Amino acid sequence: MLHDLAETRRLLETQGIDVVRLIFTDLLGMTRSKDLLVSQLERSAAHGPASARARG
Amino acid sequence: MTTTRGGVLDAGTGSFGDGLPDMVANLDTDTIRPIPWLPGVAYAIADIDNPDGSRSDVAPRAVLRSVLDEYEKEGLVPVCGPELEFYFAQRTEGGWERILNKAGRVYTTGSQVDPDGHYLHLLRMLDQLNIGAFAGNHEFCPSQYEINLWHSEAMDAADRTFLFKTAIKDVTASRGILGTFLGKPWNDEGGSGFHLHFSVTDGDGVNRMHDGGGELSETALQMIAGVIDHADAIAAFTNPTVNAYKRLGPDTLAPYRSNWGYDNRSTMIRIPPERGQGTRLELRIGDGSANPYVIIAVVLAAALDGIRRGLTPPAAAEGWAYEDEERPVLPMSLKAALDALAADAGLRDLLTGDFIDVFTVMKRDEVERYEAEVDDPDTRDVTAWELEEYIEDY
Repeated sequence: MLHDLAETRRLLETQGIDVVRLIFTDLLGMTRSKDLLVSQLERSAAHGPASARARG
Repeated sequence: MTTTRGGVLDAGTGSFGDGLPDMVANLDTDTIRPIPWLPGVAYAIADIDNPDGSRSDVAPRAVLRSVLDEYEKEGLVPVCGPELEFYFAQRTEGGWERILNKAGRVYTTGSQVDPDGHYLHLLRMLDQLNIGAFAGNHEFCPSQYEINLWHSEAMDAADRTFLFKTAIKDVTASRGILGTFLGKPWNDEGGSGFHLHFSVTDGDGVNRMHDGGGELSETALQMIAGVIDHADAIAAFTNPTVNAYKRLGPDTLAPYRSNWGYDNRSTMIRIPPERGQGTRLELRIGDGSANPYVIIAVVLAAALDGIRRGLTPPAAAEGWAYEDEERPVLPMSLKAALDALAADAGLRDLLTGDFIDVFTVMKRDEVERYEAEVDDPDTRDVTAWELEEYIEDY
C-alpha cells in the first residue's frame, strides 16, 4: 500500500496535481469529501483519514 | 447520521449508542481522475471501512460490493447502464426557477436551448473527466438535459455515475447556477428519471439475458420476477424522497404499476428491443435523487433473489400499461415504500440489516418533518418544503 501510494504521489506530481479530493457518498447520496495534499499522501492515506461516523 | 438539513440522528448501530466510532476513508487509487475545471486537483473515490479494516455495513459502495460478491458465487457479472436527466435552475427573488422556459425543444442542442453555454461546457468537462460520457441533448421539458454514459460492469458504472452527479453539481455551482437531479422539482413540468439498464454476463463477457433465438433467457425472466416481487420495497431506495413519488403516476412516462413489457415505456421494467450482447432490462422507476451505489445494489439484489428462487414473472403488459389492472399500483408515497421495506424480510436477507435500519431512520425522520411542516401532506403538488429540503443537495 505504501509503495502504491508513493508511486501514486509521483504520478500525480508529474501531472501537476497537488490536491486529491477524496470523495464518497453517504447513505442519502450526498457527496462527502476531504482534500488530501499530495505532498503528504503516503502518510495521510496509508491507513485512511478517519472521520466520525455521524457524517457518514 | 446527518440529515439534509444538518440535523444529527441516532441511527442505531455505529452511532451515538456506540459512542460515535470512527470510520476510515480508504483511497481507491484506481479511481483517480484529474478534475478538468480545477487544475491541480484530482478526484479519488474512497471506500468507507471500519477501523479494523472490515467493510462498513452502511457504506453504499460496500453494500454494492457485497451484492456483487453474491453474483460472483453464481458465476455472473452484472453490467449496468445509467441514464439520468437533470435540470438547470437558479434561485430568484421568487424562489427556485428553471433557467429556460420555452417548451417543445426535446432532442435539440445549440444556442436556443443553451444560450449561456452551460450545457456544452458541462459536456466537455465530463468528457475530460473520463467517465464514459458520449453524447447529450436538451430533453423534453424546458431547461432539462440528458448526458449519456456508456454501460460497464456494475461497480465501475456506479463509480462513474457518482462522479457524473458530483461533477454536474460542482461545475454548475462554479458557473452560478444549479444542476439538480431532484425527481419532480416543478408542478408544471415533468420529472427527471434515473433509468437503470442492466444485464448479466458469464465470466467470459457473454450476455446471459437471451436464449439465442430472439427470446429472453430463463435468467432474464427470473431477474424480472425478482425485481417485481420486491418492487414496493426497493422503491424506498430507487425513489428515496418525499418528492420522488410525485413524479410517478398514470400517463407520466414514469411507472405506475409493478409490471414489465417489451419496448413499452409505460411499464416499470421495459425490455429494449436489442438482442444478443445488447439484451438487457431497463428499470424506469428511479429518479436522480437515488444514490447510484444503492439503486444498483438493491435492484441487483432483488434480481438475484429471482434467479436463486427460480421465480416466474407475471405476463408481460401490452399497450398502455397504466391501465393494466392485473398488476398492483406501486407505492405512491415514501411512507408507503418504507412500510413495504419493513415488511420485506427477503430483501433484508439480501442486504445488510444495519444498512436498511439506518436508511429507515433517516427516511422516517424526513417523512415526519414533511408531515409536520406541510399543510396538506397528501398533496400531489410539489411543495415549497420539498424544494427547500432537497433541490440544492440533489
